[in-house]
Amino acid sequence: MFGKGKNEETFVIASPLAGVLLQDGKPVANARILRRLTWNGNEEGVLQEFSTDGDGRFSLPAHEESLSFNFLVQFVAKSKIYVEREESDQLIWYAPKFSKELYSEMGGELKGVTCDLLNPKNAVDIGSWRVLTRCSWQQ
Amino acid sequence: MAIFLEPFDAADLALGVYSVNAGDEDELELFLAKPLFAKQKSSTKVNVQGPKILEAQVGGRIFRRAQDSFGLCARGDGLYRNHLFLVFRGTTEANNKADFVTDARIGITTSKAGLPVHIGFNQTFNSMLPEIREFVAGTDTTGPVHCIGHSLGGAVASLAADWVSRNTSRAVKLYTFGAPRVGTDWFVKQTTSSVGRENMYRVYHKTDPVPMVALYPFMQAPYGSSGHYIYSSEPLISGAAHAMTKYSDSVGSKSWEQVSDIPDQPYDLEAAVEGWLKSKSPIDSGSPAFWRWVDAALIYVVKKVLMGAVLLLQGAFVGILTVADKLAIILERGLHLAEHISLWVELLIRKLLVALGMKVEASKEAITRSLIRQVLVRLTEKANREARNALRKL
Repeated sequence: MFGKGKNEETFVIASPLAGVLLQDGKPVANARILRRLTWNGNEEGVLQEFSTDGDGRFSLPAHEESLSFNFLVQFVAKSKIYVEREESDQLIWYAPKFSKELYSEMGGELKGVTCDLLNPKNAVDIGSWRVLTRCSWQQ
Repeated sequence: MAIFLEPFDAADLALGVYSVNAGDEDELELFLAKPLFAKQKSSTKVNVQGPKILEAQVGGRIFRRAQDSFGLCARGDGLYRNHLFLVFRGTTEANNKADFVTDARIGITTSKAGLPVHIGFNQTFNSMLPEIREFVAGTDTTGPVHCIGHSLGGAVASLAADWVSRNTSRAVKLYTFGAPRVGTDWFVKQTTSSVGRENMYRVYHKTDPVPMVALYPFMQAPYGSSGHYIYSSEPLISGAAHAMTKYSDSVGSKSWEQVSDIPDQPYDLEAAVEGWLKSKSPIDSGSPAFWRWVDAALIYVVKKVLMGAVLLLQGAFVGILTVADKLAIILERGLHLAEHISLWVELLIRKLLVALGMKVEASKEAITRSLIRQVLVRLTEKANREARNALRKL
């Protein structure tokens, strides 16, 4: 058979993302942030919980997995970040990731990230492809 | 008006389709965010012109059957208004046992158009055909259809392009990245004529093992073209060269003319193939060049035999015998033809015996059909082993 790799390697499923959560320009303190991560072989994924501090700041760490793929398999991980709201959870960040390296989905560490719940979702070309987000950052 | 996609856009779609799953609106929204798509809501209903997710049966047969979301149809906008896009993806299942390239079921069947193609790819395409047909017929557009895919997705895109070219009056554009071979020379000639050589953009890295398989009689389209070859200074075949992200990096923002390196050996020149067969110099059977020479030599010798014996290749390969069985029959027959044909069969088998580290028979009489078959089976096994080794070097 064709390519059955046994050697596991470290795949970064999601790179760190830190910023400030706003609603109509004002910080949202103590909000619950949910991050769902999925990747090849784990379509259910994992759900992680974080929260903003008193100034609306959040800091989501990198998530890594040790995986082994047949090289015919294209690696694809997805990171979806939601803010829990009474009416419905709001997606603020969706980034697919197609290679194992740190920051491959955003082309480097993002600085000065602000995410406003009233912003529309925008598709932004970044990293190896693009992300869907209500956030903006320093270019 | 743009009538073809630039390499960047074709690669962007071939990569992005890996992120789309049925039933997730955010994923579909992001994929369709490119300006070349019309802004429409998705739909899974029949006869609605919005984008559709296609489902395919992957692997086939009972114990390997697995459902995977496999492709996407969408309408174009802006420069691509009235165009349609059919985008297919390769394998994403971590535990997918469907080794599409060297599956034990590798064999040849006839496509909808009656052409000899790979059984597995044909089965995957046929499982999506009803939805593709419905989508194409259900639109009020008349523009070109762009068929795009990486790896297995490229194989399916090739069959889709062939189908559209034969069953609709639309122009077709085909873009593949690291795609395996889909059919035999008869399919390749026919699809090159039907889709049009100038409409086929086949991109492959020199060191990607997937476009090199399955071995002859499977061939790459367009016929008689080296496609959009991307040179690499790496000496060995490498699994890393197959990743779609690597293809995206390679094409960058280049034009099609810039994604067209010249293959470094004239494999299609008869004199060069004859020179390789006669040469006594050591063979580096681990290099990408070895496989190109083997392929070129098999094509050269089998054609000589077929012409000498007035056999038809297309008829010869569909049936219950394996490809190795059929090739062995053809080559063994060649050994008994006139000297100007049998010489090349003998040289080819001896060359392969050396390359495979097998005992080189002294007399021509010792080269039997059984030995030839054994050589061909070992050759295929070696191709598969090379691919596994490529993986370990990642």
